[in-house]
Amino acid sequence: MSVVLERLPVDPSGRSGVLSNQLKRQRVYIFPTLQGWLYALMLVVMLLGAINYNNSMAYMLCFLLASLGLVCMIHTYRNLAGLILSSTTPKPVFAEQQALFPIQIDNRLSLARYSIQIESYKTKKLLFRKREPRHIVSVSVKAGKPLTSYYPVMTTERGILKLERLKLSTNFPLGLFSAWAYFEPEFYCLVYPAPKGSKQLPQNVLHKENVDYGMQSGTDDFSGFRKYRPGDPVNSIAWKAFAREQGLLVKQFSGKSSQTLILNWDAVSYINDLESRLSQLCYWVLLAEEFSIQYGLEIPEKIIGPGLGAHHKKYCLETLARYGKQK
Amino acid sequence: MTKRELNINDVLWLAIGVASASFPHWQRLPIWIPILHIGLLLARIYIPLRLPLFWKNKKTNINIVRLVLMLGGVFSIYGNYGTLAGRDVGVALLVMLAAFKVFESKSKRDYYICTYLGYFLIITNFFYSQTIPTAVYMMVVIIVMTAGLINFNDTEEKLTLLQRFKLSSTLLIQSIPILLVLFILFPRINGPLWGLPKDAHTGTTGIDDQMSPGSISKLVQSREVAFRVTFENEIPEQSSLYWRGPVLWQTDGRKWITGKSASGREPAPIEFAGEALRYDVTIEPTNKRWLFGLEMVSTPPENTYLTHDYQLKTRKPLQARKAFTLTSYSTYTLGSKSDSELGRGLRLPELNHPKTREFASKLRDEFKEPALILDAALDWLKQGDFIYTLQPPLMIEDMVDEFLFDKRQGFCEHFASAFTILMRAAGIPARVVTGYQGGEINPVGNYLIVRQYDAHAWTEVWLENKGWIRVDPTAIASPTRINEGIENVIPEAIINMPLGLENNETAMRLWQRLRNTVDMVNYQWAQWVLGYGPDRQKLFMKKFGFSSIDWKQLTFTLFIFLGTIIAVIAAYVFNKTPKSTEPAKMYYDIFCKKLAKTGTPRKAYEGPIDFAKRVSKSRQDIESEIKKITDLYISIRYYSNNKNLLQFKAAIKSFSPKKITTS
Repeated sequence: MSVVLERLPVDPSGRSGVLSNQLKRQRVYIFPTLQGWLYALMLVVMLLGAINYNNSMAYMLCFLLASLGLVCMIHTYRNLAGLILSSTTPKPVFAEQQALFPIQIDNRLSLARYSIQIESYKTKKLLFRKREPRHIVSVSVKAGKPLTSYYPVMTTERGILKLERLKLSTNFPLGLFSAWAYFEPEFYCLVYPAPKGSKQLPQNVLHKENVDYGMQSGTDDFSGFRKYRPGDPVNSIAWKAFAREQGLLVKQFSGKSSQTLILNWDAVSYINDLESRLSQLCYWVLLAEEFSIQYGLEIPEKIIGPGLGAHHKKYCLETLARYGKQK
Repeated sequence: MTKRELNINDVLWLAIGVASASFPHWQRLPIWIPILHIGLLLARIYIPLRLPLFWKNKKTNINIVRLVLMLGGVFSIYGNYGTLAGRDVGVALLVMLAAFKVFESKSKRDYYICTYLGYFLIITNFFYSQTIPTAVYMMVVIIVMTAGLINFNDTEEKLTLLQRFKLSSTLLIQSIPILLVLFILFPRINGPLWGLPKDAHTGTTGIDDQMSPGSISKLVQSREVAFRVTFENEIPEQSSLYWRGPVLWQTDGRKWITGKSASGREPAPIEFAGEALRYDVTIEPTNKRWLFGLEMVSTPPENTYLTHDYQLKTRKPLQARKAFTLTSYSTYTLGSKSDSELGRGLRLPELNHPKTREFASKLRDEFKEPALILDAALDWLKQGDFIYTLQPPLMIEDMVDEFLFDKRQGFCEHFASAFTILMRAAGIPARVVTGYQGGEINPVGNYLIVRQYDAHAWTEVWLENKGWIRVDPTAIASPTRINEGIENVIPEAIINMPLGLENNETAMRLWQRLRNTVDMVNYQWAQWVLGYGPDRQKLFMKKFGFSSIDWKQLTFTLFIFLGTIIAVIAAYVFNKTPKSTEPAKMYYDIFCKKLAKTGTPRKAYEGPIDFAKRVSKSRQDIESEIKKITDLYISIRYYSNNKNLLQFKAAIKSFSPKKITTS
């Protein structure tokens, strides 16, 4: 979803009509800053001085600075208006890591934008409590160019993290006025549990299997090729065979060490806390992946068969992240 | 906005801005203030650079040093000036405190306060000088300080130095239309709102309400402009240009003063004859109340009045350049027989000038009639080998006797003073009139410049049936002074030519022309910019048909104009849509626009070929045209056949699809 700040830039090809259906307009607000009020006060004092001394050049200076203030107002507003904001789904992260929400700022006008501050905070604001220090990202966008900026949010717990309302503000060029606009991106970051716990893989659920059992295979002894099926680990593809134009084949191995790990609820029954259980399972998933050990996941209401590879890992971690959470 | 500490870059901007704003003040201040000023600025730049720990950790030390320095500074200024109130002291304090503020600046707030102090420093410069060079210099300072603000707000330092200056200039240029509207239409009121400090208008030279030997010859060394005059018709002859100023009645033999207010407040009866002379006088500030009109002014303009002896005075001291429209008649009969006034015109200091008195009584005995006595005295003056000189010999004992009978060398004040005393001694009421005589014609603007060196003094004597008549003893003794102006009498007053070119006539003429042009520009500047006040505003509005506009209407007009101009600027600033720099794309966009109007807009995902195909299906009537244009476009854009561009352009120009309504 995208938002245009205040006004739609006119596309010279006259095709803006197509875009406008997908764009939501967002108002840009503007107000003098503290420095701006001080500036106004200075102008009043100058005017009094000019009148008192009947000094034409003093009048001139006072009026010039007043005009400068007004022009600055237009430019400050202009620095924000007309930007098109959109966002995409951020990469999942582990809890206690920093989630990076990509925010795309598209500047379609031939005027560069400078020093736009992006900050995010909860809409519920307590009046007398000091706002917690927020992260502020400052960006400048070249004329007619889009720019992707990442807004970092520190994650504390696994689950689904929603980016709070974003406030874009600018004081450019003179800091006498502040223009700001809000952007409510409907984007969520998946937060996996923090990988924590014992390094020891659970012994009691280690299965020794025959080679011909399903698609699972060991890693020790090469036993032949079979056809590639989606989900096979990339490093087991026989690239040489592929180069000989024999199609995608997967190397199969057999051996005593061929093993399958089933990570289930029983394996973590010794941990009481749900989050810690999930953290331990997450850690094991990562370890198993690292050692290239086949693994499956069995948690209440969800059973994932054994497997290996990026897709499998992602699926397992996502399941852990979403466990007990809606969506 | 992020909180940010000042970095070295910010401090440099601040220091340069504040220093350049206070720079013109340096020569006016006691030497230690500019030194302290620069020292503090340099310290602020240098200390954190070389001694970062000292700056950061020993805050208390710095604070104590600062406080001691500041108190010391304030006390020293008090010691220097003997007061802490007034214009000069105010400037001294501002220059010092601005440097202290820069010295202690750490935060964003400090940065802004320093910048605002800098703006104040600029305005204080205008209380000393309002010339065009000052204005230009200050404009440069404003550009620098505004660029400093841009620097501060450009948090990512994306702008180059040049771009900062460019943006700063752009902002200021865009401000000019608003500035003009404000300057012209903002309702002006006559200041001051409260008392001005006593020293607000010092340093102005000009004719005073008293005359002593040397007071006018001192003025004659000044090239400063006293006033400028634009005549409605032709400029009268030099010899008739007597600009009347203070009239002096009372003397102690050396010094003349105006004396106690003349008999009656009403101007003396006067009869005018001949043609009226209308002209505008733009007078430089004198901080005094005399206005100089040609003898004799008929009616005083607004806010001025005529005294009994026809001094034209303003109600308030002239503290700014002002323009007045005056009407004069060169032929007049002034005054009525009033005993008290004539008595004042005969009063002489006791026991003084024995030789003069003796000579006067001799004249009286011989000629009896006042008119004959006057003629005889003037004849005597003409044949007396009097020398008109700026460096008269020292006359200590009895100035009048020594001048008339011994040294016979003097300046106009000697002539006027001695002759008036001689007349009084001979029983003819007489008074001294000071003012200016002549003026320099500027052919570029066709107006008259009267400078301080045109200052002059002459005599008025009372003759039965003729009233007060002007007698210029200087003119009798040195006729060239009056007929050709002072520059021909006193060589020092001639134009200061650049070295080595004094004898080159072409260079001389060019130099003269340049000088005249510069003065003309200054005159217009003075008239329309510096002299723009409530009166001129009224005059200006009258030109546009607002004959009687009050401040409410003025404010209303102001807001209408302001709104319009801001809207125009905003439209200009906003209307910066990206234009394809490639001509082919530009023309193709026009083509798409034309088709969009007929109800077939190009979709965002469509390339030119797909678009042409789709449109052609529904529009068989223009199919061939669309194909031709699309082919040309592709050949230019994707096969670089630039030679097709003209053909392409023509095809698009002639392309005008009709709208068809599908039923």
